[in-house]
Amino acid sequence: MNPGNNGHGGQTAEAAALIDKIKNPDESVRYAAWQAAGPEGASAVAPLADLVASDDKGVAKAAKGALDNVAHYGARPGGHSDAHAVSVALLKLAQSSRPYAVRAQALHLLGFTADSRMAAEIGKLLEDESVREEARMGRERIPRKASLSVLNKFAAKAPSDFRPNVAQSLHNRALMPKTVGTEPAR
Amino acid sequence: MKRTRAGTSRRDFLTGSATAFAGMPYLIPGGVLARPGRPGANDRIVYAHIGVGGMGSSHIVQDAAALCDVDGEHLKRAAIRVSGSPLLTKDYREILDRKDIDAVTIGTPDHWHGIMTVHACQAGKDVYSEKPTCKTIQEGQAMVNAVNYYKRVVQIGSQGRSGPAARAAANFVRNGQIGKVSHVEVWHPNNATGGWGAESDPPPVLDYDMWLGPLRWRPYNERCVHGNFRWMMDIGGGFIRDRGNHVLSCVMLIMGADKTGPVSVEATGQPDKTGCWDVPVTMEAKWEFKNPDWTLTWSQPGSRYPFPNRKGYIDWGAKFFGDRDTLLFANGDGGQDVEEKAKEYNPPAGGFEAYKDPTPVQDVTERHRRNWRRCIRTREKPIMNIEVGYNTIILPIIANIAYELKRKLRWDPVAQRFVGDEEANRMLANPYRAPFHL
Repeated sequence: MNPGNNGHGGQTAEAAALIDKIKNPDESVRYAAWQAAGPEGASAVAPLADLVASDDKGVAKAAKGALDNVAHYGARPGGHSDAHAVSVALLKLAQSSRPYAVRAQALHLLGFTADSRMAAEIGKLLEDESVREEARMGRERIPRKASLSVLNKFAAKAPSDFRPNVAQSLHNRALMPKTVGTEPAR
Repeated sequence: MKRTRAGTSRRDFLTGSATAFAGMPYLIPGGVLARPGRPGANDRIVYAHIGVGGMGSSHIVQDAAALCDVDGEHLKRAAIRVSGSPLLTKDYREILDRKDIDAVTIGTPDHWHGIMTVHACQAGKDVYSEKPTCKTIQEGQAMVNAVNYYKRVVQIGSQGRSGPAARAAANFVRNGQIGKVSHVEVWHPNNATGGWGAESDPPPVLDYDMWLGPLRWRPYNERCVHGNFRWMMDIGGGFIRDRGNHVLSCVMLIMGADKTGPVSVEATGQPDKTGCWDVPVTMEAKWEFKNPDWTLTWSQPGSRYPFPNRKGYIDWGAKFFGDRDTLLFANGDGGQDVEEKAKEYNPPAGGFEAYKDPTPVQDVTERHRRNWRRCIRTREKPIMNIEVGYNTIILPIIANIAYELKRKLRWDPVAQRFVGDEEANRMLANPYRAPFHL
């Protein structure tokens, strides 16, 4: 992660420079910035996400690619604190009133970066009708018991039209490599 | 654009369809089977086809009992080719509920292959599913389990396995004619680049919600559906998972590596700077195998080597590097070819000899289909059975993950998991949009 990154989502000079390049009208400049964005870390998450919704499709594409790279770099082996900082920033996006595409992508990426410490907060978004399916799918990737217990608790109080979706996630979490595919779909 | 959801569960569907079927003529007698799941030698096998656009249309038989496609135009065109009054539906589950149907072909986009094959096996159907085998490692495991648990005959549509050039190359290499092979180089032309298209409401003829099926919801864009799904990373995965499945299947046959897997994978590529597609335009991938040690590489762009004694370069194919000689293998699907020295080679008594179709026909794709039909009667494993199909598709699946994560990954071919990389392991399965699940 960029040494200038404060790890709490505050925008650094490096992140500001990245954003300038992502907004550059020259696609080659945007491309180079997108490819090198991974180490920019949590401070780049929110400003990149705002560009994902840009009307300029070239800028939006570069921003989305850069955001993906930041998340995947943060979730690299040994990058635990980076992953957590990126997850906190992504969670803020998912909880915000930003456009659906931005919130949905944040929840998708949380599936790769978040650990069980985030499970309860992501779980609250299961109650948000506009992104609850995306929250459910993102949640499904997060391993460990703490994460599973959030789903279990929510299953009991989920609205009736969403209860089958939660049950599906619980079913999927129980699938084992040696038996998956042998139980008829219900 | 209004966001819709796949709104019915399988149970809801079954309840509803039972009513719908009450007034429907019973098209084909189901009692023709010699015993359940095993047609006798002279019994008629009743086929249905799921996904009848593109390559899926090539599998249609004239007396098909049912056709399924989420695009009404595809259905209309396919129906003209079928006699009688086949069931026409946009929901594959209607076909799986028909007890009289013995076997189905699946020619849908890739994101449906795994889930439909598993559900078809659970419904007691034999399956011919187009390549690539599946989209994720978990889907592949589910397919293998379902095929074996429900004792189904499943052929993956990598017809290169049925081709004479693949057979000749396998006999040549596996009997030591080029010595010990240390490297296999595979190449292919670049992935496509294209424009942005525009988000809009889907055309009325297309059931877009069912087209998406288990995928994360996204707005309709004509540049991202039907044949263009190939250029979306989370749907088609690029040529490496498409024709790569063809040529890599042949490589694994020729190397005798069907029961082995790589121990590492790395991949780089250059995505399109513009346009709505996100697969890399160019791509380099490398897999390392152990015991025996060899490396396999994939390169885009293609046209890497000229074919001996012919004009022009081979668009896509493989080159085998042994310590005594090399061998060029062109393409990998029905249009495959191999150097003359392999074609002229006859294996010695007791040497390795690849499977030979007892009643070969000229057309390799039809030969592949006939192998499946024969196996439906004999209950033998087809030439591109599910274990082989899954073992092949692991290669491009993990290469695409390495590309997305921008790092070299270690792979445990026995546990079928990445080693020491939790994020990569979270990509072994994709959560499905409800109500679809394995």
